[in-house]
Amino acid sequence: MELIPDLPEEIGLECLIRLPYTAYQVAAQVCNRWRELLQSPAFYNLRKQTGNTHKVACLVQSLPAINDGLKPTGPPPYGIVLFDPLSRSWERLEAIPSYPDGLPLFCRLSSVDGKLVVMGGWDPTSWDPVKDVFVYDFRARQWRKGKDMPSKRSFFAAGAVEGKVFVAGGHDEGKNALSSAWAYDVRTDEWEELSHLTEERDECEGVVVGNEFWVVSGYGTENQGRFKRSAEVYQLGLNRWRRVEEVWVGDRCPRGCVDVGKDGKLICWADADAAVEAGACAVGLGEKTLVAGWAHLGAPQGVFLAQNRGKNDKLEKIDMPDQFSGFIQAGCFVEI
Amino acid sequence: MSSTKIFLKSSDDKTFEIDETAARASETLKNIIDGGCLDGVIPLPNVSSNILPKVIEYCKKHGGDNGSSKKIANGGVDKDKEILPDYDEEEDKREKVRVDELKKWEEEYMDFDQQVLYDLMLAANYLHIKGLLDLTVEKAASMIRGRTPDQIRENFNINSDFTPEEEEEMILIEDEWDDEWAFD
Repeated sequence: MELIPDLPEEIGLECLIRLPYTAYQVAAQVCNRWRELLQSPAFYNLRKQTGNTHKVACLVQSLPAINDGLKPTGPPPYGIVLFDPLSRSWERLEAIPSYPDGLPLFCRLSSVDGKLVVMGGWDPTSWDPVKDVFVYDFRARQWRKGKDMPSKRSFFAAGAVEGKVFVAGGHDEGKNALSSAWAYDVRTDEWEELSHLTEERDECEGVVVGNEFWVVSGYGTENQGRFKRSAEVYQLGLNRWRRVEEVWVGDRCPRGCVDVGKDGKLICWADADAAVEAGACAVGLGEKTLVAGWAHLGAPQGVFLAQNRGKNDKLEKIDMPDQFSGFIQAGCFVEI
Repeated sequence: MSSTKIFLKSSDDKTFEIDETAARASETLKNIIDGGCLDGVIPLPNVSSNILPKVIEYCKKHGGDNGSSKKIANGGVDKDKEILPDYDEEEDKREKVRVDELKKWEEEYMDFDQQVLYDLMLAANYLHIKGLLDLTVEKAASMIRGRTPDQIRENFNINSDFTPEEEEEMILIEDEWDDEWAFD
């Protein structure tokens, strides 16, 4: 049977490619062919290639403070918000059922096949590191619990390549810097151990350059806070790490502020623009980059879109409604 | 502006006239014209005389321009443009009026029944008129969005090929999503 009776296959496909992801759940109940097509990774890739995905920034942002007259105790709770760079609209994502009052602190976000993956972090109440993995399916609008991380790991690098989320470095429960690395396959819900980094890297940052997972900077257990200038690149087929020297500004924490320019070179946003000099947090959004930060400590947080993903880029200020004006700590790009 | 006339012959042997500039909205016709194989009349064995005038109407409006539909899809305003240094406010206003007018024209143009929609899609696909294909496919997609599975099947004459067991299963799968939360 044709996708749409009386129309050639290619036109039927054109029609379905243009459906927004919000229509999938219903459209999959029309017939078997639609169902198989809408759920296939090939269809997702086709939508991606033809520019029909819905592109959003998923951001870890502090929730608006509840003014109950009590003094705040400890860090504010965090939630996930979606920012649409095309319509400039903001939206809050439903909370993870196991963490209704706030995300694990310092959890990492990545995206595979249009899904959002939330990993690790610290329990927001006890501050104990957690091994939790959660996957949000935008089409089913539901959170699913994934297989736990193999061990407790804080401040690690994460990045998604070819259907898997790669994690590397960080530190264990004894504050020992780690060189171990693992990959989580979202489709099979399995973890696989990778070869170790060439050295320990605590507080490193993960970025994806082209189709490569980069682990940038970090420091060893004995060199607390002295950030390395090197990075390591995971070589998929070889299960080996390739070292890249002198690629990061020395003694600068890479967390949040690493971006990849159009030329494929690393950018440190904290150095790239005075408007976000303090606490820069950058999220690459395909052609553009969303950058949040402060001009100096105590200044109001600004959120900007860098149009060309490069140094000396013109930053365009983004309006933030009051309920979405919280501190942006991390984020990732999702093509739904 | 005067322009060379081109003659198109429908599948049922009727001849229609179109300006060359308008005909260039079609990639297929453009290639025939540029290829110099133009021999009086271009036969279009896949397009009937019912639909060809409608296609010509579109080409007349869009001759030599294929970018406007996209601008309309973005709300008629190109937000990125505003920060460019050579941004011209007056020019942008004129552009906006033009886009608004085009949008209104498209609304009226697209007011037809489903058989015409199918025929137009096929013609736009055959003649490689991207703007018209975008417009018609978008209309078909709008007949899927926000409808129930039954309404969609009715709109497109699709038979549900799910077995009663599968229908049952579909309901179960939705329940399963909730069950996955039964973790320690």
